[in-house]
Amino acid sequence: MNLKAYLFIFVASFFQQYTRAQDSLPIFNKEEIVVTATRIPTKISNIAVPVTILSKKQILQTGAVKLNELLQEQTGMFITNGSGSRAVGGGIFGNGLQLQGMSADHTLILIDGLPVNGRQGGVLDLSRIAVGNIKSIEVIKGPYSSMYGSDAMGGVVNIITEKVQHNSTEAILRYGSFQTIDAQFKQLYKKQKWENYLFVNGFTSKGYDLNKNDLEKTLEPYRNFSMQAKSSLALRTNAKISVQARLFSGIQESKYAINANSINIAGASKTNDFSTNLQYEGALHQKISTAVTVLYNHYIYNQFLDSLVSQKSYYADHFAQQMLRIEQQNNWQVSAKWLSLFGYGYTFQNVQTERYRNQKKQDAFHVYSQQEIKWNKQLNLSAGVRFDYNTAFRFSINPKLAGVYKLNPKWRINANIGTGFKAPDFRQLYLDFINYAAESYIIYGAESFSYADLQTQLTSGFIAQILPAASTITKLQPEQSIGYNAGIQFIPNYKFNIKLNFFRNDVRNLIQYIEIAKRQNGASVFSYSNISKTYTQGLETEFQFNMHQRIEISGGYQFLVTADKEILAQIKSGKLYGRPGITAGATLMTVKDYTGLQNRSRHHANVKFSYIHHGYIFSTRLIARSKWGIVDYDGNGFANMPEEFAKSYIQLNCSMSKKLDQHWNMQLGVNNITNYTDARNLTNLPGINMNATITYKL
Amino acid sequence: MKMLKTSAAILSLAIFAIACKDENPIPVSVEQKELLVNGDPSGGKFTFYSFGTGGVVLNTDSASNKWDFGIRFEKIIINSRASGPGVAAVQIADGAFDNYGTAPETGYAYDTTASTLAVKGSAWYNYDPITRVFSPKAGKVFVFKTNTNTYAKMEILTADPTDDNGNPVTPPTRPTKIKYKFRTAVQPDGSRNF
Repeated sequence: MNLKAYLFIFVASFFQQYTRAQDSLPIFNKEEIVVTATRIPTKISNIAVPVTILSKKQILQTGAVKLNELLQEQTGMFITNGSGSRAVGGGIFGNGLQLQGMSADHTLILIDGLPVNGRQGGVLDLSRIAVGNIKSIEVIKGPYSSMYGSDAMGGVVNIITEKVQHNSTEAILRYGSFQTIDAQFKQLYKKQKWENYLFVNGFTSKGYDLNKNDLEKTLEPYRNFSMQAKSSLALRTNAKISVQARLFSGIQESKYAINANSINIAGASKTNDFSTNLQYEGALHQKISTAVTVLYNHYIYNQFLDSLVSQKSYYADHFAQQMLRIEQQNNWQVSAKWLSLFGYGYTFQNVQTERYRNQKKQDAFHVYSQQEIKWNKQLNLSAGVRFDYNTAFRFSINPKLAGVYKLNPKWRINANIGTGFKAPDFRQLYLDFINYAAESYIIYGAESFSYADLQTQLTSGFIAQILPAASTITKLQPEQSIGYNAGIQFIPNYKFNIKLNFFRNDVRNLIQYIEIAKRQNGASVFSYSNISKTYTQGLETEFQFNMHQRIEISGGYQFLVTADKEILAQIKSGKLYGRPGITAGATLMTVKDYTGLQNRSRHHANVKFSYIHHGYIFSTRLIARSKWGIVDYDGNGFANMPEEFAKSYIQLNCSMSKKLDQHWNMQLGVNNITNYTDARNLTNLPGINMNATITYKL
Repeated sequence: MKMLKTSAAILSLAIFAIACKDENPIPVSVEQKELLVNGDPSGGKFTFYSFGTGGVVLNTDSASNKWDFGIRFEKIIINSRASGPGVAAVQIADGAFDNYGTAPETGYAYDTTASTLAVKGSAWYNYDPITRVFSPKAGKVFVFKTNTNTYAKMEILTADPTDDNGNPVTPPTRPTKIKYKFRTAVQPDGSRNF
């Protein structure tokens, strides 16, 4: 029996990644505290929703400086591809995160429990987030809109920044390939009840070029600056007031040779993201505590391109978003076995861009409640529900039910069911945009669209033809999903643990653009509609093996199957064709030919190995990803011919660090050792690259 | 003079077709073609194609019945009524080109008016406004009644945005041409069998 178990583990480990508790203790260390499941610090043994934790130690071993570099090494986390300098007028929107095969705009990213704003095309660019000030990252996979509202469909990633434990000063300098310089400075200061934290990070890179045959670089030079400052004051026992400010300011250069043999268009995109929040935490009663948070965020994105020949503006885009949120959560410890959470909040948002007719505003209210019940020594239950009202789409109600059952100290099983939603975003509602740079096509957001206007345009000759789809444009509904998760965890001893999780997400009302009219010049007029139904399902496994005092192996594997239900139905009814090659004749597609949604890999695995010896830490990480659909040359909505896929690949990253004395630490890293590149499909993966880091801690 | 030659050619083809009528249908040969056409969506010249010659027809012959269809950007016109002096007609059928054995007897459409064309763009391609890629839908067979009284079938394989020399371009570079690759099969005997 034991042999079988170990054999299974060995096979599983051949693929793989990990989930580890902080400081290399087994996952279910009773002292481990998580906040994402309940929004208040709670012992992991008391919550029913599975949380994966990435510790500071793991973060340091990867040597990553930006969040996308860190997360791409984790199980079941795909970083969608995009590089800033290639995006003109939007299209390729930075490095987003897919969880459980759900698209990147369905992942909610939080910093200290508060949402990060500034999505471009629905995607939040993770390369904007520095990792130097992160204490740990908590990840809940599957929908959690019952707690967090919109966007929490594929999962929630909560970045927990460092706390002030004692006075310290830290400076870090890194130099790497592509003339990349990263400099960090950290100051932690504590005086009695007063805690202060300052983090400053500057980053600059010359970018890189994967395709020498064109004039542009794959990634043009970019530089950015991040800052986090927080201060808190303990008022009395169990009461604290804290204030925090975050700033990101980045410039991405762009250069193009447009219809020319040399660079003739140049410019840059500038991102400025500022957030501040004020929080009060205190006890209202012996058993009731409360937290009040006020969050303000201002995100500005400007892109400009000028002609180097005429010195005139070629393209300019301006986008500004403001958000103000006031929220209160009350936590009532009803009994030793029952924790009751109740919260409510108000959010105001406005967006200003040339692409909308005028400034657009949204008001939203939410109310939620969650009950955490320790039924007995074996069973923990969690039940929650949240009500969201938004002036743009009326309302959405999202429940979640979760349970974990400890069979014995070695085995535990968990299951949960919950719903998620994503509110239609501003562009889907309000866009009013003629793209003069591309055939003068037009996109109207669903709220900007008017059938009467279209008829007037037809009469005046501005458009040539109204398509039947135009009559289907109505008020957009939120995108919705139901997620099911069931898992088992096996912890035979303190050296080894493994877990397995099955997931399924059924998504409906996905918003897509559809062609609603034709212009006289043949260009299309588009708007948005709730159209597709999809599903994602699969299994994920993670293990951790402390083989020896000095040697640790961990890994993970995700098997993923996705489908667009409409396409699947068409295939089943024998109506969908595909070409086996770009210039090959069409053949009837079968279910076997169907590869699911684009940009999803069926297999994704990682193995991590670390070895500690005489103050040295060696770390090797292997990431493997099977092929994924990238384009659709034959118009059937999925990838079926070889040319429509990005090739599977393996990436190998290594690092070595050495503690020199109590102040100095150095680290050397070599990433992408196999030098795998794909200039078309993996513009965010440079070839082999090296870095050296020196840390001084006082 | 030219007209006379064409008429003679048609006549001889017709005689040939009649002569062969009761024979087994001639196996039609499938040919792959390539056209580099004007990529300006708002105007300019069409590229004209003739199934009879299997090649491009000069723009100076635009007012003749020498061509069967023309393409500009993604717009396909056929030589009949509003678009030309010919009698060409077309319909788009669902199926695999290679197995598509018999042209329908009825159901053909003409370019009725300049804005009501026989071929509606969305019927045969998907267009991604962000990447500017046209994806001709697999399984769409264009069935033509040609100006030479024959039946022809056509499958569009690719429609790639390119520069003037036919080299692929990607945004933000604007394509000036669209390079089409397509397969055709013409039944010269005048029957509907492919």
